[in-house]
Amino acid sequence: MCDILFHIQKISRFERLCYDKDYCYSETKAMKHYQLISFSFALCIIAGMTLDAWAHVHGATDNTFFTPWHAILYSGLFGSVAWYGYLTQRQIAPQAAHRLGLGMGPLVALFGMADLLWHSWFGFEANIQAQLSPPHIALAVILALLVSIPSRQHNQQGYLTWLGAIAGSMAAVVILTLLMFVSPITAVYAELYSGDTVVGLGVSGFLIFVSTWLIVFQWMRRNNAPFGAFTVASGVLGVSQAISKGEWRFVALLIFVGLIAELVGRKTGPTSRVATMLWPGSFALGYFLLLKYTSTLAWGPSVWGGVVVMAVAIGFGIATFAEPTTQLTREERI
Amino acid sequence: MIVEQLQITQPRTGWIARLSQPQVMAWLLVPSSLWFLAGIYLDGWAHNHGKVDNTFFTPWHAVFYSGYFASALTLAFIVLITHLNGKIWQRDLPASIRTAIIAAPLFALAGIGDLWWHTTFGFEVGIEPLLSPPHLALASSMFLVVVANARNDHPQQPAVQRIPVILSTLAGWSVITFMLQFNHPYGIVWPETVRSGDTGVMVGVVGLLVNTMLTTGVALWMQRQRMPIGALTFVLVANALLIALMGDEYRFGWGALATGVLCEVIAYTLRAQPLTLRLRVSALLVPLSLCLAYFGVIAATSAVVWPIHIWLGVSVLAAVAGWGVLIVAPRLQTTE
Repeated sequence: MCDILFHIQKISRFERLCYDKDYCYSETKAMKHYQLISFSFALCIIAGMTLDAWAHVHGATDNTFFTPWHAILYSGLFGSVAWYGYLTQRQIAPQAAHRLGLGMGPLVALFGMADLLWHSWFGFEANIQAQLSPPHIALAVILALLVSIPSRQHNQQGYLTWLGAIAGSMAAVVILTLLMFVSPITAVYAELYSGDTVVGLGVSGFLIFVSTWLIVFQWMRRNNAPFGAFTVASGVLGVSQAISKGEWRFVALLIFVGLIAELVGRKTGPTSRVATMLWPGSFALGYFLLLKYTSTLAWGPSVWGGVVVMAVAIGFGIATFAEPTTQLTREERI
Repeated sequence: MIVEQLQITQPRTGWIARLSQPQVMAWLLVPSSLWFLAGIYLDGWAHNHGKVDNTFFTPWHAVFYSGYFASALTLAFIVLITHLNGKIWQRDLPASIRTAIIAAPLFALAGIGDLWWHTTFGFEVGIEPLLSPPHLALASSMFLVVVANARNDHPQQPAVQRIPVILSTLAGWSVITFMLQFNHPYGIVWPETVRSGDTGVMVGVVGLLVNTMLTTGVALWMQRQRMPIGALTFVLVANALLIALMGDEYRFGWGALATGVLCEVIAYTLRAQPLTLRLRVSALLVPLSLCLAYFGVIAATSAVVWPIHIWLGVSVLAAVAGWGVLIVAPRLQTTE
């Protein structure tokens, strides 16, 4: 019976695999499978990017493009573009998200060409120049958009699924990998006895890291992500950054603080500011305590204490900024 | 219970009723907030120009702390007239003014905490005064006092009535930029100072990113509050000139002016478009144009020694960060 209906609806053999055997009309079940496949490609991209960063940091690269790390990264990239092309061609909903994924293919080619031209005009980048070069940033944004597409698939009644929530957070992981030179997980400036310039750099890096990940936290709360998704996402971020630089001691902290923030967020409600202030404050405090007891905390109490207060203030600022206070008038309605 | 017993149930008429109007209260708070803000920037200017010694009793502290007392007295006066008008301040005043009323005594408590901190850990040196927890507590409570007017619940008000909102936004933002001056791009101008050596470049890059993210947040906030034409430009230029006081880098006022005018012209061109589209454009345009204007001013007045990979790259990255700010921007709600 199902086979006949599949035939009438022109559903391909592959798509039939995504449908449940017992509920051949279950669109939800099919969407879950589509999302799982999309997520697998996104995971492949993140794995490739993390391994590539590790290889660059550990000198496991040479001047060739053809490395195992690039193979993983680009197979994930082209695989996901092809997959979204297939979903677009089959007109499977949400079509806007799938078209976006497909559109990343030509953009990768375009910015890849732009990168070649950039190198021929302005030369090759050295050190952090490679992370800041405009074509590289554009390519990173494309990767971030690609990995986030599962968060636009299969979300019912404003609720993010597990895979959607993790995929959305992986976009921030891509951006934070780009900013690894100031991330407190990979560049531990608080261990260095140095002048004001380096202290200022470390503090600013900490604030950028906290703000970026707090945006992910707020995004998950706003979109009703399942309980535990932020904790798992924090673990993914921690592992991704730890692999690159070998700094494993902060992974457990990220997971623990993420879990505490989620528990408090669940208790206080989705619009409460408490959890949004708690996550950055407890992460900052835990970070400095961890440094103090595992290696060296070179910053004085006026600096590290100030960073904790600033982190809490950022949480308050973002929670206040995100409050839905704006009332649209009739003319402004969208 | 006590509050209810003290409450005068009959609303007054005459001058008390007039002073209890939200618009009048907003105007009452403007002079003391600006005084308070002027105090902190004068003190910062004095510290950066060697006009201070080891005593607490300086003219700059006099302006700053008298600004605090003026603000606290104004807030106390608002509580009084609210009470005399038969209302309860905890219930009937706008949320931001209620927060300011609570924050005013917290400032005094933070001052006591500062004394204890100095006694326990000694005096701060270098950039430590900008990061010390009691100083941040002072700045946070000051921020909450000066932003008492920063929320506009009446978008249909005439432009003149929105001046307190604009000034309050400027004051709040300027308190934050004051505390972040250690990485402000108008402080040490790294793009004309350091060509090689990654530390200097990284400090410059993160300073630009932090401050453009903050500026984007302010611009989006102002757009949400339906600020009149010219408000964004005014706030950008005034903030740039205030922070320029610290290092005498007034040239960046021109960059802020160019950014403000460009963003407002584009926002005006798109005025018929949906608000979400206008916000998206602003989230990308404000940080990008701010960075490009910054490098433009440096190129016009001296030279940008950073390679193009970095100065153009950080501008693009700032636009990406601006988009990130948009993710947590308030959701739009529609009313009938």
